[in-house]
Amino acid sequence: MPDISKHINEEMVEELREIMEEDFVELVSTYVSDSREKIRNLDAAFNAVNYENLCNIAHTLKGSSANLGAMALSSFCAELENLAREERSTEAENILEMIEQEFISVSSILNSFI
Amino acid sequence: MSSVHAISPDTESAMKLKVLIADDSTTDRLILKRLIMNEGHEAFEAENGKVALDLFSQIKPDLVLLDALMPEMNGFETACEIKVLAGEEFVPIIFLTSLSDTESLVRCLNAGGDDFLTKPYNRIILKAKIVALNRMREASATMQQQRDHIVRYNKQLIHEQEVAKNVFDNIAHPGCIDDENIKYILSPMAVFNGDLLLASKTPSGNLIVFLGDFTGHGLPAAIGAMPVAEIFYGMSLKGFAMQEILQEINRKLVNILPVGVFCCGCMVEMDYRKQQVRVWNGGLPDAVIYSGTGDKLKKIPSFNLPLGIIKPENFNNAIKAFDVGEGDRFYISSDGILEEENSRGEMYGEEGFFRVFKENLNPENIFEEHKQAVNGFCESEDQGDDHSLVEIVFHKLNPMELTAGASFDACKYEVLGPIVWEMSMDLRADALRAPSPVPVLMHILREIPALQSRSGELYTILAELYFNALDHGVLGLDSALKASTEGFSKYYTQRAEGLEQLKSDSVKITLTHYLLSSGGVLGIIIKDSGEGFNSEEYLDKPMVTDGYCGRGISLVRSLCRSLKYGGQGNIVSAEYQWSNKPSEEN
Repeated sequence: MPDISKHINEEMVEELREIMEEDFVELVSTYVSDSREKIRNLDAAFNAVNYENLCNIAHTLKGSSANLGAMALSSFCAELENLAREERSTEAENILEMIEQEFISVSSILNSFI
Repeated sequence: MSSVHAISPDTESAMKLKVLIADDSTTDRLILKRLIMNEGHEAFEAENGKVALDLFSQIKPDLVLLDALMPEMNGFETACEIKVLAGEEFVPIIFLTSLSDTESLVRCLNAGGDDFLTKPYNRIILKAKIVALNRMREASATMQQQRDHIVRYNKQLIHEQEVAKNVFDNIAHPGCIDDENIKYILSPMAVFNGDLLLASKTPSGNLIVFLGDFTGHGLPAAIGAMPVAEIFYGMSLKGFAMQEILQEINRKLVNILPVGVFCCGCMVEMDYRKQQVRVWNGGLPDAVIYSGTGDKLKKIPSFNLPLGIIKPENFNNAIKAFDVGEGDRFYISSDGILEEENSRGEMYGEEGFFRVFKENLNPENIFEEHKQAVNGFCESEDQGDDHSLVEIVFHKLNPMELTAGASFDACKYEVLGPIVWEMSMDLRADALRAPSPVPVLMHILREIPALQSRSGELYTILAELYFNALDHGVLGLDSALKASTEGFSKYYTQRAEGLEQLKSDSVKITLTHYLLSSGGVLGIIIKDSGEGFNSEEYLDKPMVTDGYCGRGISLVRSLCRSLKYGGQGNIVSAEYQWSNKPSEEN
């Protein structure tokens, strides 16, 4: 198990658990599955050199990740959003890889909360 | 945070709001929905702008949470559409955003957003924002309600004013104001500006015009107009004198008007027979007699307090009389005309008003010149709503033509009412001091339908004979005094003193009536307790037509079948014959 605090703000997740009550499980599993799909879509957009899609998907993932306390993932997405806007493909490719790695950690940690 | 606490938590939680959430991220929607529901509100979800608009129309939410970037229709467009759909109702929009650059935030506000909520969501902040925006929404709704209320109230007020105006127009109608010799400026809603213009013809053919200006505006100012008009028309048509009408109007207004509401007014009577104009001015700007061009004008300033202030016993109903001739013009105005202001805050004033007279070349045009001068001064036509101006042109007319004042086609009617009768009226000192009994007699004579169309002539005869008996017979006044304006006032002073001293004096009026084959004869005998005079000498003199001291009797003679003096000259007996066929008259 990786160092939790580097990937997830535990306090926020605990607060979410309190807020969501019985829907917490649904929230986490929805986030994990939605995000997995978004990351696949990011790859597709990158390969299709569709910067607009790349930018929009990164923006959405940035927001939802922040809401789940995945602050590192959220900030990688913010960076990708900027790079995509500026159409800097090399750096975007690098950050995309980091997002994929980060998501593996985030999803495994979040799954451990349920 | 103190403002949040201003509303008690109980009322906040009691208020269940419908909240529309539009966000393309499922997890964000899940979290928001939970946050909203936990605060006791109802949540509705939309995954893009288009769905959000459909839902908006269906559920009519109280608050919208809107993600800025969404597929299909983004938050900015959606916000614009929502504001259109909401119309006048204020539905707050909170933008959900992870945007942080100033430009994007400004774009949210321009699109109609009322606040932001940044990701990650903070439930405390969201709660505070919902409370704050809901307070704004309620304030706005209250304002709308109050505005709608005011609009409704205003509509109702206008409707009521229209209804009231109809009533006023029926009662406070301007009478014979559309006569050729009268011109006037008066706003159609003048009665609600407090201005009142009345004009009437008396049975003896005189024209009486009254311009009143009540203090204040609106209904309170209009209320007083009704009794004034009723008294004015009721009394002037029955032949009451101007002084009596004024006394009665003042008495009524003192009784009904609250303190601080009164009526500035000017009453003027055009006496065509005596070629005289009689004026009472209480509180209105100077009335003007304008003869010819240039400086030939006489100002008649207010010499009394307005109507409705002074108790009846102290009211001064004295009038001033002026000789007038053919083509002389008489002007009455309300102070609105002098108080007109132009855009530089300057007042039109007396200066502006009298400059028109000074610069006038042709009197025929002067009324138009007045209108143009005021409108030109104000630089706009619509300001002329609050001022009234009346012009009456004096024309020498045959008094006989004027008796048609209260015209009535009697020929169409059967001879009804009493046919052969006699009545007498014995007037003692107190009755002689009271207002003229002639209107009462006229009232009785009107019972004979055929005499109604002749009430002008009858009034002239009765009034002449009665006042001769009282003034010259009982009081022994010298009618030669009336030859000059100065003498006129001396005459009336002596008359008032004489009336005061009356003790056992009397005037007895006897009326007899009988029918002929077509028409009838009305006999009038008036006997006074005075010493009489040498009537033979008087009646033998040729008819005097110049000056008004001798006109009265000669006119009566021309109207009657016979006129005789008896006793020592203290009894006058006249016979007035009337016919069913107008052509046989006189």
